[in-house]
Amino acid sequence: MRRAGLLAAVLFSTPVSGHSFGQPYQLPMPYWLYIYGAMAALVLSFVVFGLFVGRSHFDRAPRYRELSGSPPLRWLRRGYAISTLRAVVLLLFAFSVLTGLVGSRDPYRNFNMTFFWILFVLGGTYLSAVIGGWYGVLNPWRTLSRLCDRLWPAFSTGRFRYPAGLAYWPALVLYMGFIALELFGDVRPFSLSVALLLYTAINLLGVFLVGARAWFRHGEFFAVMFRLVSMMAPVLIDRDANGARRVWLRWPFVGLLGARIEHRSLLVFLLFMLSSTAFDGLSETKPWFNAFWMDPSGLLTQWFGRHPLQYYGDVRIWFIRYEMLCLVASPFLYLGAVALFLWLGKCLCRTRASVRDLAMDFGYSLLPIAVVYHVTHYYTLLLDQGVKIRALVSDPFGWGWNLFGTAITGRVPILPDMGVVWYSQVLLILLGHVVSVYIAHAEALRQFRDTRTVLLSQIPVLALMVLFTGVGLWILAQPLNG
Amino acid sequence: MKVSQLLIALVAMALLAGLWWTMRPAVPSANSAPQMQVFELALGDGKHWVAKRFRVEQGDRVRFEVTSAVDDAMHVHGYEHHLPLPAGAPQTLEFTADRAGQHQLELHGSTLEVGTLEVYPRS
Repeated sequence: MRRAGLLAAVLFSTPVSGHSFGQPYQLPMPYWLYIYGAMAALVLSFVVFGLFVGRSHFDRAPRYRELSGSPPLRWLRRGYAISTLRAVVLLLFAFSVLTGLVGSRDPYRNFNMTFFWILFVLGGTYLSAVIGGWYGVLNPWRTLSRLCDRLWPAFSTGRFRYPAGLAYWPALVLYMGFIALELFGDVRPFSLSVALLLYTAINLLGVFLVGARAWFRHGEFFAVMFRLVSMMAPVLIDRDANGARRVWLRWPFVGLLGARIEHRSLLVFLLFMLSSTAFDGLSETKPWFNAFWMDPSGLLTQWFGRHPLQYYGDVRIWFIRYEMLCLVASPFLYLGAVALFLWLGKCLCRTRASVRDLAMDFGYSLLPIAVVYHVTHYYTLLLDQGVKIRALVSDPFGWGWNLFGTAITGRVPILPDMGVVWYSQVLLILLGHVVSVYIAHAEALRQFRDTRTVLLSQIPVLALMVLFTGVGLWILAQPLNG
Repeated sequence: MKVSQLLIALVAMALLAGLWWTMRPAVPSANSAPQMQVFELALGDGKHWVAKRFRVEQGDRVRFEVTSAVDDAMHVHGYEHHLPLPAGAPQTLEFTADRAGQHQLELHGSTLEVGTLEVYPRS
């Protein structure tokens, strides 16, 4: 009874949201829907096997249709269109830093929080999934380094050769720092502007040291994240032998077919995209809270000498450290699971390829699961908080302006019915699962010649994907803490 | 498409539809009539407050009776209700919670997070 009273006291004194900004408005999905989604994932996995068991589906190279000559793209390439867009993106960032530094302290009334967290981070990710590599063209930090080149010729050429061993680890470290800031930083408009200035300094230093080409490939984590997501897009932006930019139309996801992850750090980065979203969802649930504070193992009570709930204030700092440790460890935990299931597949089909090589070959097949899970977790924020940008452009500093007459009317959010949200979550997760199974199956057909080996190799991979999908659905169905 | 593939697709669709049919609970008849839910908030100086969750069911009437020691304003996201809070004067905000979901409550002046209004579909 006493413990229940203590728990109630703790629960009511716990911040309801770990987010710096914006709380997805959806509620936990009904349990039956989670079970249905998990069973449907299993059924659909075997359907993919059944429908695409032969080689014929994958023998043809994916078709690409060049769009570079279409009128809108011709217009974009003419004159100053791209330069103007680059300038607009850079100025938007500069303006958001300014509003954060001198504008309202209220996160919801200052332009910079909604612009950065919702439009840039979420909108930018989903835009990459739809129109491909927009960020490679309009990256504001790349634009800034080009401006530096004008003031200081050869600024972006670099002073040192990028160490091959570093690979994508700098981007992963920055990505982890970013997620930690989002979840534990209690970021406000002012501190967001300071963080953006700091990140700008890091990027300019990176460009100065190793050159723009290497830094924006390996170090700037938004560039790495958006580039990964853009591989699934139905639009491909590349360059021809003369360096001229080309735009292609293709079927969604075919960019993942036959693609190989070039370094294990990129695989960990990809897995962190999945595990950090899962962690964010899990950390707001009752099971996660209880697993620590109810101390089911008794270890904490033994360690501290009393039940942790009895001195919540003192133990809370340890809880946050424990959560940060779990966040950092999460992609490596997922990596362990990937390695284990691939090792099982290797044993079953008796291939000579190492687990490491298999992980590099099959790694991209996990990307659709990671991206759709990100979408299901956060997309309602775009409809809820994202549309409020209409009001914020009328009053960007939160000073009571009404520049365009939308300061009040632009605040109305779009809130789909909860049933629509839940069904769309399950549908999206199943879509990502089916695509992932399909990509993995295509890779298995590319690697192994006979159908039996292909099927044997795919059983553990399929189990891994059902596990990831099931865990994702389970988290979405858990009751919220508090 | 071969016959075998068509068969696989049809069987899978039938299986998924059957699972949906059997697992989906019947639409519940509302067990309870909408209630009036009253929450009293004494926000003090807007500095020492810990965020709370306010749970109601869709269709309930919600009434916040709020007192702040300093001039401020409370905003209910999702519903976009705005309640001015003159210092020391109790204020009331009443509305029907017809939008399910988690909706944040915050103070515009002190930028304090008051908590979250959780509106669950009526069971």
